Amino acid sequence: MNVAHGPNQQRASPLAAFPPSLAIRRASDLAPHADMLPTGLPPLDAFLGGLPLRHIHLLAGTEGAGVTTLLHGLLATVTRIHPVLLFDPHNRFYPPGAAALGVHLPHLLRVGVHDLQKLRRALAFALRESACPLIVWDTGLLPPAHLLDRLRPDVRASGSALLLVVAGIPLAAPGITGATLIARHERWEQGERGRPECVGKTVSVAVTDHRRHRSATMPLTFHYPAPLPSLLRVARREVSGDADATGRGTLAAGDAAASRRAG
Amino acid sequence: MRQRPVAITNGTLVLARNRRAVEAGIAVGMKVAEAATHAPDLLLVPDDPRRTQALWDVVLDQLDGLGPVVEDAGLGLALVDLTGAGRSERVLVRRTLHALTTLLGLTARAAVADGPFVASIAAQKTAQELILIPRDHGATFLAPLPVAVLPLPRYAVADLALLGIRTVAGFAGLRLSHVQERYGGIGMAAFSLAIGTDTRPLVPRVRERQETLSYPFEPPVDDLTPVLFVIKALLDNHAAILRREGLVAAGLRLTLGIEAREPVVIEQRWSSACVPGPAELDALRLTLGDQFSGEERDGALPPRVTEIGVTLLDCAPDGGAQLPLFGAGIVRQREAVGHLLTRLHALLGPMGVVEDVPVESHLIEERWQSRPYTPERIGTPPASLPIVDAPSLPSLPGMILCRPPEPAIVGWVGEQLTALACGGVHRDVLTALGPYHIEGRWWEERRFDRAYWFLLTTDQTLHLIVEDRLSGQWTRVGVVD
Repeated sequence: MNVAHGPNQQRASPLAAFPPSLAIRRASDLAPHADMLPTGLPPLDAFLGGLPLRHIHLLAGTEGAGVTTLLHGLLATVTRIHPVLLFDPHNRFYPPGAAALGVHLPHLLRVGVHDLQKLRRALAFALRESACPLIVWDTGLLPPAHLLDRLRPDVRASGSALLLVVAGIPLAAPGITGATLIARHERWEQGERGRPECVGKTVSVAVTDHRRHRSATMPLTFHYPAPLPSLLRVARREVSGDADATGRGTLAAGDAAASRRAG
Repeated sequence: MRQRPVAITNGTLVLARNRRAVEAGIAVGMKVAEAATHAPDLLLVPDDPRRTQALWDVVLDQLDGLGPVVEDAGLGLALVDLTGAGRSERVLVRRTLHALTTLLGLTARAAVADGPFVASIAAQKTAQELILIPRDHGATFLAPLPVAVLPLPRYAVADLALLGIRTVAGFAGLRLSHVQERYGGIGMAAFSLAIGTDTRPLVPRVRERQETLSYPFEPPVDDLTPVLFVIKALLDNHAAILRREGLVAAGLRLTLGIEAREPVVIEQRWSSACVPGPAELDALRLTLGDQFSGEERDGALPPRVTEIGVTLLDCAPDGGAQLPLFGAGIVRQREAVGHLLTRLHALLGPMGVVEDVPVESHLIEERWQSRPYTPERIGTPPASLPIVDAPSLPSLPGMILCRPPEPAIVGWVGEQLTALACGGVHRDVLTALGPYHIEGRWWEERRFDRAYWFLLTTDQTLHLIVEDRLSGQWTRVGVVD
């Protein structure tokens, strides 16, 4: 039965239907910022808001710290949607390893140029075209400041973020305008109880946002698609002080090796 | 030649034959020796696809004068849009057929109909030089023909024969809902043709556009700058024409007339068909710069350019790629990547930008193949299932390769692998995972017999080292970073 409301009846506000604690946000608040490239790593996105375009970023760490793991994690997110240009002058990129962490290889354009002159020209072309929102340059050593100074206007004029991947931790990085990510190994991830296997790696990332002048350190965990058996057995023992006097571990695949050596 | 049996052969088999040869019992696919026994005066003509295509291109050029759109439906069959010709269709077509006979010595049959399907069937079936199917009589013409002329799969034709439906008329008499239910979209398309609805627009043929401008370099120039200015003007001219006609080009050929020398010809294929712009000009500039600076290095006088010609290759309709429809984001992304690749290919060569494709292999250095990157890869959906890894040795995320592999020394205490020295750095080993024994290709010179180990050192770095059991050498090939 339809009931007509009289003029003296109090009308409920449409908003009253919502619980009072519900936060109503604009749709634009939910959409990612156009000038940011989401990294897919929630703590990093919460701190930086994504990787800012038109800036030079730095990813650095000592050998084994987790720089490549972090890079693959980043590429896994970006390559799902966008093409990424990877300058790999030392041919160190290992595609099956990247694919194992979810990098979408059809969206990864790998440039294996060794000649620095050609690399710089190719980089200038890439920045001019803005075809790839993320350009990664696995430089090995941090490029000299004057080169970064020359790159900066091109990067500012482009629609791309330039990420420099560096081995070792540079003392200073004057040309970096976006974010600096310093990776450190934190721990190998253990499997479920009773299954001593390595299921991933946690990397501690020290992030510096050069635009807002603030820093933070956050742990990021990357899971392997297939666990490594018994890798952690001795590593954990060392952490818990259970290692032997020399700090050396036992042989994981000892039987096979022993028989081979004996033979 | 028309009075004699003629067969086109590839040396062993008959590829095509004329009517006289058919009458003599010669079939396509028959061996030449067998064909010769059927007709002693058989004339054998070697197959020459390039010459045939060249002749066919001339025929298509002649047909260009007949209508605005000419579709190349394969060697020997062309479709021309005669919209607007009115009652003069017969005269126009007869004149063209006469021209083909007079100029090229070819005989042709033509049919005029409402749509391309009926016209092509009529031209192939008729024995007359020209047949006109009156307006709205396409279905009547098709009615007595066997149902196999319709674009139906073979099983459907056999199925219809079992139902007693052997002609197009019988197929057209079926209920539309029944056809849809039984044969789906293909059946619906064939049904439309059977009832005379043939509205497929013609696809303009792919052809080369040649736009050569002779610039009077007087005196000839030995500087690249004015040459590049003229090239840019020519390219802009081409781009305007392509935009006006809705075409894209796949590449260009630049011809530079050089004083007292052979002309220089540079042909470039772009990574994707497009309207030439700054990226294509850049690519040309890079190639020209390399070529001319190379000549100067040789100590010779710089070449003096007298004339420039730019030819666009394989101009084709752009297929609406530039319209802002659904999916245009990917199209634009592909276009941008295509422009970038054009530049990078000119700078770095075709293998300068590669895509890596994982393949299954036991050796870690053979677990992927690199191929030149093409813009068509943009928009590929991510794989829903993980890539199958080789069972012999896992591919760890975050691994980088050591290039070249670094010689390593391992230390043993008893049966335990306890130390790793590599690159002048000594590390104690916490744990070792291995050996992953891999052996293969023992029948080749490239045989391998290796044992891989993952070594976790005290600095928490995971190294992949390998012992070559043939030479006894240890090397570090990767690091999980």
